[in-house]
Amino acid sequence: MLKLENVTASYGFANVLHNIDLSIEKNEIVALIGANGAGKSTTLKAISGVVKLNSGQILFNDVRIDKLRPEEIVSIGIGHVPEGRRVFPGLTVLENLEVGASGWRGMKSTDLSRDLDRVFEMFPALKPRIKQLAWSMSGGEQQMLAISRALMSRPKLLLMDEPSLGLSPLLVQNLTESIKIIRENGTTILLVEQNAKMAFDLADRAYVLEVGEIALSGYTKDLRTDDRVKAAYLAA
Amino acid sequence: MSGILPQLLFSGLAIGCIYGLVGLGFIQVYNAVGLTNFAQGEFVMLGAYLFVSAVVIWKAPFWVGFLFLLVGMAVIGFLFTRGVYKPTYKAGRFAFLLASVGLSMALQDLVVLIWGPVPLYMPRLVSESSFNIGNVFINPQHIIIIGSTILLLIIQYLIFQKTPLGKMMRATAQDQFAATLSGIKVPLMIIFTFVNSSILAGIAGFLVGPVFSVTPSMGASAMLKGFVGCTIGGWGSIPGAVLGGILVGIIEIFSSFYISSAYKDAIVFLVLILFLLFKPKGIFGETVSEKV
Amino acid sequence: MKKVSKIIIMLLLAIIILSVPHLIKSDYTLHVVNLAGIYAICVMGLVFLLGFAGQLSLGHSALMSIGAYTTGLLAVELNLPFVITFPAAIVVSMLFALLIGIPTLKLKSFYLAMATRGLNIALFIVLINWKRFTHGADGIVNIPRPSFAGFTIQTERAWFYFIVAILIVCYIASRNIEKSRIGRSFKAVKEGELAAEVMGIDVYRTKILAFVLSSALAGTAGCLFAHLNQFICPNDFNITQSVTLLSMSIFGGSEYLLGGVVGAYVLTFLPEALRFLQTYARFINGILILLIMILAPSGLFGVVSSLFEKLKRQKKLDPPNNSPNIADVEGMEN
Repeated sequence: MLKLENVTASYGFANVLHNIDLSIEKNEIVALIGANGAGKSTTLKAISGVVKLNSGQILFNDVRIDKLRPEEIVSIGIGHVPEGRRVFPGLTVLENLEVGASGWRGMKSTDLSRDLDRVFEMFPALKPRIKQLAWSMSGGEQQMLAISRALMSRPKLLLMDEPSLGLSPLLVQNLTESIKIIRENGTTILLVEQNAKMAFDLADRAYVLEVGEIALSGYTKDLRTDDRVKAAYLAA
Repeated sequence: MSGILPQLLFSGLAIGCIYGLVGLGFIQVYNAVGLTNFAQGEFVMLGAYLFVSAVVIWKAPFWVGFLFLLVGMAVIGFLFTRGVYKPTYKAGRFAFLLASVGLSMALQDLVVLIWGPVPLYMPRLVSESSFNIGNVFINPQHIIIIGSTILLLIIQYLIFQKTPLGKMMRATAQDQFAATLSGIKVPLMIIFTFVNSSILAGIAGFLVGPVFSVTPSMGASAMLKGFVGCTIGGWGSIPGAVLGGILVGIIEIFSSFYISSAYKDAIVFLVLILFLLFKPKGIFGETVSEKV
Repeated sequence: MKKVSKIIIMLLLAIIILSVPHLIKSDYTLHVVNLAGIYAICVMGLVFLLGFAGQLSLGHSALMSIGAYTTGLLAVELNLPFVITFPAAIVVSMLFALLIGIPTLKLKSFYLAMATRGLNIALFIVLINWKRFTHGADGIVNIPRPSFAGFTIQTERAWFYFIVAILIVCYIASRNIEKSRIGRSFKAVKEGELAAEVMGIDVYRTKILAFVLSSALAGTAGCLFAHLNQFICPNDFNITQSVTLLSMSIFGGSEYLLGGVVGAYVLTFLPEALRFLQTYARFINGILILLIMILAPSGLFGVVSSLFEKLKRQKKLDPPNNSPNIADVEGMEN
């Protein structure tokens, strides 16, 4: 479904991605793990068109997308839940969701109700709070909202950047369940996580990034037993 | 003498509405891109000149003149985004600010080149003669100003709160990165923001034209007062900017009456300094909800 | 070797400077040169503020007017000698900078910009209307020439040496401050206030210091202006003048003291040379600022120094006989 071929990209002064090769098949959950500054977020930004490539290419359903603008990438079906949630603080929950949909659809806001129902089915806690301003919600609720906002554009592929960051173990558990449901509903997921445990529980396959390069990749069940992975990411 | 207080309040309110509109344009741009446009005052002046040229010089009907003003200001807002904002916003924090200062000065001279240095007279919608309610003399243009401001504020409210476009503009103002990832065309939203704020300034010029005369320097002091209004209201707060502007208008009218009209701009400056000293966050503070 | 060539350059420079008044025959032209020198002093103050500490003042002519009116009033009304009125002018301008700086410099940077513009407007109004004190729009006339121990600086030629001497003193002092700990803390604040704070710099006080020092230079310039022209009025110090000073500082490159000096001389002479465009002076000035900000925000010196740096880097990369194609380097700059 998604293919990164030989992707090199720089963000700021440092060259942060070197010859990244990565592929995701339909209906997979693929995890991208690595230390801080390894280039995980940059990879997602490159896919979303926020960071431009120096060389290499990105294919989505066999079509090159690395020259497209970010909003075009959203409209062909790639959603992105940014790191730190970044809900629109001064907009209500409902407005956040509407913007998630209208950014994609342009000015027409017809047929919102179906998308809203779908999202509320997944996150029922949001429904009674649609009039609440986003900044006044808890971290967990904001994460739900950020995911929901991305889902409003009906993505075929969802990029998630550190969704578990700053959440309590219980909330991480809930989040894990939600991500599974999103996949069951037919959305492919590329998950960036520092919480390798959670990532390995969820993902079918994983890539390990180290200083801008892919150090390891494979099925999670195989990686789990790899000594290097155990030492670096699954210790404690 | 008993009528003097309500009368001063009324004129202050009317003049303050103008400053409120200027401040509103300031705040919208500030919230969207974190920058202050020092040419905002000259946009007020351009609005007045555009209307006067259409109605007085080309003898167009009133509504055509107004339409011309709206379209002209929209074009100016667009050109400003493309010609000034876009090439400067990445080049350090003062490039845009200085560029807008340069533009404001150039525009003041440009109108002299085009329309000449003599103040122009702007036709009124309503008769010039005041009427009185009780012993309060009312200038009909003041009623027009207050009425139009209320109408404009309602329109702004509806645009920003009820339409998808307005919600996308607010989202862009709050978090450009997240807006981009939500599929919003951020550069387009920024253009809309500048266009909207320059239209607001233009209408302010159209409203204030009949009260003062239309001169190349009419924007400079309106801008300072719009800024003081924003400071009083607290930067970032939209109702604060409008109410702050109104307060500045009232202070101005009262100080002209009780102290000296020659010193009114100096007194407004004093108010700015006092506010910065004792209440730098303004009355409404920088609201958490609008900018984090 | 390097030291010798430096001394030779200095000597040449000194000869050129000393011969200027002998080469320029017209008193009027020399007067304009002198005015440019005065503006150069003020513009160095702006470089301090904008280029070093990253704060923007839109009202430096107001601070100049403080210096000018202080010295003018003291000299005319109280008959005080220059040796007293000159430092007084500097001190009073510094006090005004404190007055504006204390409430605004704690806040975001555009507050100082707007407050200084406000000061410019307000002070203008006060100077025009407070007739009993400032003589209103008529201004102060017959400001005496400065004299020291019986010697009066009378002719334009004498003024030329006097102003150049003060300009050089101001430059050397500013240059020393730039290289000192204070100058480094200015630049740290400009780079990022948060990072500067982490480094243990008191950001607020640093910004106030920069503004006050900048104002001292503006006051110096204002004082000299008053005694050179022997007449001052509010219109010498309006908003347009402030913006002109700003355009001088960014034309040369607001991060370079010498850039400011060059900018002051060029932009004082340009309108003189382009007399026929005088009516559009403000238009041209405004467009100039706009264009500089769009095309080369680092100004003349910035462009030149980045060009030099590119050349240097090229030289290091290539062996000497395989010298770089200079046209290419310049092409890149455009």
